[in-house]
Amino acid sequence: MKKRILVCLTAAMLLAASLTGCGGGSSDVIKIGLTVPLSGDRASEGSYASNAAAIVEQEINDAGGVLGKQIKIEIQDSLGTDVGATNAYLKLAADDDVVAIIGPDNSNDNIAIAGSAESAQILTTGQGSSPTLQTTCEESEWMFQLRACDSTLCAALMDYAYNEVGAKSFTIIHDTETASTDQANLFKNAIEELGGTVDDVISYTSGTKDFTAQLTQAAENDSDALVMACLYTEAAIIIQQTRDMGIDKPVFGSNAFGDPIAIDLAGDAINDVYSVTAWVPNTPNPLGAAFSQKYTETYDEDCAKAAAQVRDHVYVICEAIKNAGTTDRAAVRDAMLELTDYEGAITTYDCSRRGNCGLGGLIVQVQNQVPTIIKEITTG
Amino acid sequence: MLKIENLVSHYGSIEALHGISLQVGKGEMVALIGANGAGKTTLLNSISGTVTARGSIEFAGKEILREKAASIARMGLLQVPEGRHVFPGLTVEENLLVGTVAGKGLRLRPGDNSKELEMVYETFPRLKERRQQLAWSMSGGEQQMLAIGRALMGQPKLLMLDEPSMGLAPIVVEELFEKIVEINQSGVPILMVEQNARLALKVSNRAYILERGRITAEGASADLLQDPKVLEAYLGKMVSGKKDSSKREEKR
Amino acid sequence: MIVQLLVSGIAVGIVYGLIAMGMVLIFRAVGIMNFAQGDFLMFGGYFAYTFNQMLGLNIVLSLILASLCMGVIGVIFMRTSYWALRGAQAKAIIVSAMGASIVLKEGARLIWGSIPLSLDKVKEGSVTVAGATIQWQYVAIIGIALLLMLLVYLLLEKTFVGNILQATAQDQYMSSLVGIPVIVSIGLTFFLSAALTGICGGLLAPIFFLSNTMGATAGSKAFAAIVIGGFGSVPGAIIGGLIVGLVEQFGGAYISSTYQLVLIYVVLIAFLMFRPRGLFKEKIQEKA
Repeated sequence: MKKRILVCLTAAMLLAASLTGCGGGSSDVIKIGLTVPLSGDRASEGSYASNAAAIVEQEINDAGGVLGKQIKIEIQDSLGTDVGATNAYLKLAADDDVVAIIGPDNSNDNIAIAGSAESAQILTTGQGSSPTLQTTCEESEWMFQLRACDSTLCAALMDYAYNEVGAKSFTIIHDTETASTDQANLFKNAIEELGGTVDDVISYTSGTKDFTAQLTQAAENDSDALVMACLYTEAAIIIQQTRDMGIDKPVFGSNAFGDPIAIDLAGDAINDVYSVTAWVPNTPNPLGAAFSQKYTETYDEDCAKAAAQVRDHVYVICEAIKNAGTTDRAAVRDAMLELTDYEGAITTYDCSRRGNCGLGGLIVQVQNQVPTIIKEITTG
Repeated sequence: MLKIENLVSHYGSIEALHGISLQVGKGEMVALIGANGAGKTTLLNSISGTVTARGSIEFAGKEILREKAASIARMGLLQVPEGRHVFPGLTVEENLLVGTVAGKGLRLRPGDNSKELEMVYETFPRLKERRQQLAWSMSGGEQQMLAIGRALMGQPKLLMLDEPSMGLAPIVVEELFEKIVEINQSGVPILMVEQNARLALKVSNRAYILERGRITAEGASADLLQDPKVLEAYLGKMVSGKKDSSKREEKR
Repeated sequence: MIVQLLVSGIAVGIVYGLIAMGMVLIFRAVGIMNFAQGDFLMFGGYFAYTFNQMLGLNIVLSLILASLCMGVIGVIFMRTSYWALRGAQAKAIIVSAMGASIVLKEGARLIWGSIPLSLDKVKEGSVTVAGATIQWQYVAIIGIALLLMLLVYLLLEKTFVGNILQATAQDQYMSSLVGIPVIVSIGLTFFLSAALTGICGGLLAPIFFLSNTMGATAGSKAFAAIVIGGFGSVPGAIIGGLIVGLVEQFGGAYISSTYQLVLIYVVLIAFLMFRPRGLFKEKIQEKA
């Protein structure tokens, strides 16, 4: 019995070794690393990202590749944690053929890998949008925040709430997870700057499923509007429970509230909710619309932000490699800094800024279960 | 009825039984006597299938050495283990009903068991009085009655009793052994392990003496009662052993 | 506000209690805390989703079918993760249950994907009682949970099969001596436990949504319920579940919403310090 297990193990190891052996050493391929959560709580993000990666890889290779070489996107599971992200990053960085690495769609994970990016000296693009990541990237030689930062997006949403919807007092509910806490603070500062009042800031621990306690508290404040910073599952649950409890105040939410996952889950309850985001599947951006359509045709699901973002990151990196004319890591990084006006599917990018490189955002309202753009924001 | 030949059994890595041969005939009461650690309980457990052994165990003309414990019980070879093992969280009557699995098999509904219940209640009227009581809350003597009664519910073809007198006051032991004799006289053969050698030899037809995993003497109980070797080794010790057990009973 | 908190506290608490009850049934049968119980909840939810959303069956029927499927999973779990190791140390079985938990979690992700899913409610809409808006689903959860508890009570205490299950739980050695095939009896206990927990998954899914990681939180709260209620006690598990649910709601509203989870653990630690045997002692005392 034991012997049989041993034999199986040895066979499995040999097989694994021979498989990894095949890929190494060839330099006719340009590798781009991608670390996203393929397992754990945020595995859905990873599934969008890997789907998008497959489309983009084929698109670019069909068009002749980059510098006459085929590209290959190497994906490593970041497990949805900062430690996992760092481990995945180091594995990718150890491969000499990897020219650049794309970080996960979470600011904390990206902040965690920033140090490794510095020591590995590889061009790294973070998908997170927090102001902390913006600062980290601005101080880093190798890391870019290829996205519009929350600081501008949150302020724009509150400006719309205060000036155009006419809400003057707000109750903020947020997840204690860092990115949501950051967003809640940005919302709060923006409201106070506009001259509005924040009646209360209520928080809950990540993974909370019943919000009766938080919502009864919020209802007692009787503010003009509710502001929520949540991740998408909790966003769907909390908005359902808000409406089920009979609270019909306008709700302004973080980007999760415009995400197809949250909208599918929450059903009718999420209608009328405003949120600010970088992406909607029915985007007016022509490149975005084309990608979104292709994605939906291929995978029979809405193209979420996590997919569109990976598309743009890969294209921006390939553009930098093209302009550098080489796969030398430093040269590619320098070429990246020269990209000041690159059109992506989500928005236009100015990479010379290092942080907050995305130049646009969208204020959307969910109408009949579709995130509908009501205002385009241009930053910069 | 039961025929054991050259049975070898291990307790962990130690050989506990070194080739035992033993028989129980129809209607017989056979006693198995020996000191602590002689292998008496291991022998009973080997027969009932809860301990693995080598050799041969034939019951009612069938080899049962490789059978599982539950199927051996359903053949009617029932063991009342040392320490009684009543189901503590069930009532007296529930314990008795569970006992019918041995005779009638595993089934969804208990069916009509009034005949068996009546028979057990007749033998042990005390159980009838306490039928709704949870088993753990009863005295040691009552639990022993329940354990035997539960085995009777399974319509035994052979009963194995392991230390039925253990921990019981002398007066309770006397009452209990009267019942055991009664059961045997109703036609159920009994194989009994008992430390109280004098009592065991008095009530049984034949006896085996087990020492360190080997049978060292066997014969009619009446003869063994006269055997000077047996007298010295087992009947002399008995007096002090009895005192110990009555002390334990008082503590309860 | 109090009515609102009370109803949701009881609804959530009674579900924790039901999961805890499933864990206690297994604990009493084999002496092992099953750390994969939370994943039974998750898997049951996905089964209900499959019948309700993918095959379009009525939700009540879907819950029943999901519960039966989970029962079968419970038996498979017993055969693979427990039976082979029954002679080993408890540690080994706990580790193998944790392994099974990972298999269930990642298995669910492979089968149903990682995007959170929802399914039909037993009854849509809500009702207003004393100024509080209460979802019918909460009422349904409380009703169904009470019904299930009653059925389990009747099965275990009032039927012959229940006596056999209890007998095996109390003394495996003796059970085999009266002719009970222990593997069948224990298998039935796992079936029952997994089926009960599985149905909870289907009841919670429409309000909390399904994800392959939903088992962990629910499982840890059920564990807290068991400690509060007293290890091995079925009524204790239910009362413990209600206490956890109510502490979560009232503590969240009146003390701190941020530290809801912490409050539960404070109560748990308080019990461990001042009443380590929980609220209810097991009805079986030391074996005499």
